[in-house]
Amino acid sequence: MISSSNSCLKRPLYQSQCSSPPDGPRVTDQESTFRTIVRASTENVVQNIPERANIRSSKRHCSRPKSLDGLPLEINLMILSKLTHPPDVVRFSHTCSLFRAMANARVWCRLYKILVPHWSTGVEVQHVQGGVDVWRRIVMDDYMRKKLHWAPKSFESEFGMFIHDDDEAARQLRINLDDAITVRPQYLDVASEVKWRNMGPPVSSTFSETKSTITAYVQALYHNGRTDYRIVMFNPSQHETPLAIIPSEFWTQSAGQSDQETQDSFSVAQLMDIKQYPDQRDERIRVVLVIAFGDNNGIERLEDGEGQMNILDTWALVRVVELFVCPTSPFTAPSDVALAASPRLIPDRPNAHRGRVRTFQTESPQEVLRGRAIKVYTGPDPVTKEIQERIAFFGIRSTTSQTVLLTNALFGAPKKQMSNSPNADTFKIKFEVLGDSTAGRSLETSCLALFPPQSDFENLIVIMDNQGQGEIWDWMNIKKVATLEIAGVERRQKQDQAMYGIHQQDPPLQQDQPQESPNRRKDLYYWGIQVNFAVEEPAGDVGGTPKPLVMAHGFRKHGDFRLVALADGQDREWETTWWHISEQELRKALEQVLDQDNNSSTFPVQTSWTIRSNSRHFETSTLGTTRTPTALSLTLFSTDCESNARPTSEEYDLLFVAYLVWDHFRISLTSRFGLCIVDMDKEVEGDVLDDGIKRPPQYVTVLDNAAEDGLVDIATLGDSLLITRRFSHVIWPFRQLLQGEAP
Amino acid sequence: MPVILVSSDAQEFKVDKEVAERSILIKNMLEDVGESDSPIPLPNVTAAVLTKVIEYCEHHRNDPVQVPDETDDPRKRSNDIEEWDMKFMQVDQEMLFEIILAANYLDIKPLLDVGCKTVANIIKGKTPEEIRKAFNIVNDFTPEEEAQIKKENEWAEDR
Repeated sequence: MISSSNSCLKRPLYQSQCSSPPDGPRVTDQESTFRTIVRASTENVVQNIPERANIRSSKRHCSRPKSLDGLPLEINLMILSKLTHPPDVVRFSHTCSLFRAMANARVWCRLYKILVPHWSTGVEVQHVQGGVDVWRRIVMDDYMRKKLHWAPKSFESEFGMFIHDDDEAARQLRINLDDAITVRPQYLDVASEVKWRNMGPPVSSTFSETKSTITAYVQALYHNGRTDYRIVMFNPSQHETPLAIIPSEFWTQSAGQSDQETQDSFSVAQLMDIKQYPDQRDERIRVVLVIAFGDNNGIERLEDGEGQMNILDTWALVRVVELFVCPTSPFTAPSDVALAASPRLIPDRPNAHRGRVRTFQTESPQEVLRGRAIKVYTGPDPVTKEIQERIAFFGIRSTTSQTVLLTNALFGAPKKQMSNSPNADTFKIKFEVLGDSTAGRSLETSCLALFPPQSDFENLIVIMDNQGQGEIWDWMNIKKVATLEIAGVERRQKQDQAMYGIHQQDPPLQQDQPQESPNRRKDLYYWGIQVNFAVEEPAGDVGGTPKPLVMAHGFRKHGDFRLVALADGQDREWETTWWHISEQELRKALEQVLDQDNNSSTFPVQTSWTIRSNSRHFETSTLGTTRTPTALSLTLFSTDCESNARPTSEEYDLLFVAYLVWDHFRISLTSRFGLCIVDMDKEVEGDVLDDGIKRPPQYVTVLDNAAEDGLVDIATLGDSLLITRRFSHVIWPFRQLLQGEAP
Repeated sequence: MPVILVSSDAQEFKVDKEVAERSILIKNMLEDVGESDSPIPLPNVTAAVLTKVIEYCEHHRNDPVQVPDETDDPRKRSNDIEEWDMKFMQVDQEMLFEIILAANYLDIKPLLDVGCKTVANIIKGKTPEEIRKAFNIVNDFTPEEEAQIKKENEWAEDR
């Protein structure tokens, strides 16, 4: 009911009773969280608004606005918050200085949460470095990646149905190798009879002060029944011209006969770590390399023709090699900066100088270790507290499945657990078990992973058993920090107990809780775990042209982590589980553990921090839509052989052989030399796909010439996926879409 | 019980209390003063705008109160506008801005929300120049800023 009249005004209410004048600042007790956010944004924006825009905005605050920028700032911030399409925000911010200042890091972080709603759990503005520029790049990257690199707009499903582009579930990111850079430099001698083969992925080291990165990988040559190795070292931005090629003489020169025989008995070598030091000698950089020798007998499920991955599965011998290399490539004209710093041109690259070499062996040849984790670091000696260069070995003992470790001075005196062999530079490693020594308990580990290098948490390791139960340990201080649990497992155990007549005083299952299928899931075997920052920061200069092979512009200090584990079932079922690890909580837990240790050192610390998984995604089969890089038509591969509706006759089972995580994507090596990207943001918690529901197949890129140049391994380097093939490397930049893609 | 609202140009509007209380500002004022038949002056809202605001509040008088947590979560936020609201917002730009300002002043969050969404929908898909033209925005960038923006636009525009 509305009535209007022009009768005389009575005494204004606010003059006597009203607690807040109606034309004053309108702040009430009912202010919502939203307003708090807007206020915080306003305060943040006001600090950054150019003076000219600020004056204009404040002048028009109370008058009738004739233009949008005359509206109060908090209203414009609300309008901005309604823009959820990243290009709209970019364009809006390009209209005037006020709106440009408004589109701050908070706005872009909010957009990231809209674009990546599931994976972005807990992500905050301060979790990346560099502020608005970095956040804008992250959001636009993600937007463009999805827009440009999705799988084909439509394809025929296994049921003959046509899945269209607007079917969100059907849209998957693909690795299009046509967009990749193939690195096949001449020094690899591809045309000659002598064929050096790549082994394992490249490993990199970035020096924090200069941000310079060096990368290296191992190559092997089979001849006369023996295997020779060498290491190729290069600057990622000049990958065609190596900084140095390190022959095996560098580490075998001083090795004894028995050492050499031991090395010869292994079929695979892999570079485990590389570290560059600022110490220089004769204009050379000091570099330490760690090479492990072992076998790849773990890839048992691959059948003939499915793949020949040379992945190091177990190791028993480690060489630590110190050398000095010239950092400047001889074939590239030095930059002006380099000329200014060093007026003398280097006419030819001097050979690398050999430094010290150490060999570490397990106590007996039968003792082999799984888990690819050896780390060179700078840290305190446990006894003297002297800061020194150290090395840490981690592994899973093949006989007991216990996680074992050993830390020692890099080239210093051996720990008492080590015993010298007849050769003075060779040491037998006597590992310690990682676990609660007082209780005599240790986790039977199936996989392990270190936290990201050079982060504030590089002293942490996550270990996991084959059931998916995990623990986070501070390996420097041998203290347990947290326990990882899979959400739903406890409930499943209770269901199982009930089946066997074991009753507990527990509340019944809620109807809205997802029903799981224990029979299908209980045989899962967790075989891999990865630790990454939740948001991948752009590498290089975010304001300029992206450089795919440049490492991150600075070392990460802040950010939450994601732990991603992968499990296989007895048949073709598989499961991804991930945990959100809050940086703040992790830091707090770590401090508590160490504080307790300082207060009462005689008792082991029992941490109570239990982290439950955020998401658990299960599927009964690995479907794959595959495409070879040069193929003209699509080929459907599937694990389900019943369907006759597929357009091709060839069908293959696909297995995930290895995987890594980059941002919210899980990139896997598959059988049949395939590469598959899965967007984990789509793997929704409680999404149990074992009920017969058919899902669109995953998109698998298969190497078309795998017979001549097989797939060896994958790694990430900066903003790129680095695919190691037998005789070449392939660089597929995740952010490459931002260059040369202008409309 | 009806409540009398007085616009800045001295027009009185008699509205139901539950309609008036869609405005958190008015609701708080009524709670502060208790039972009173005193008119409530709204010096920042003209009669024309107040008429529109009351029309909106009448239409939405039975709507449930928005839960802040849900609307604040960007994952749950939608830019969809109800059909009635969309027609209600089909006004000239000056009136649109006035309604937004009034909604902000009177603390009617759903109306403020719809107003901001309407402006956002006008912005969508437009180039910076088109946005400037649509909303009378003056390009005040320095040449240096223009250069930086051009660089950013190289990969972001027209996609």
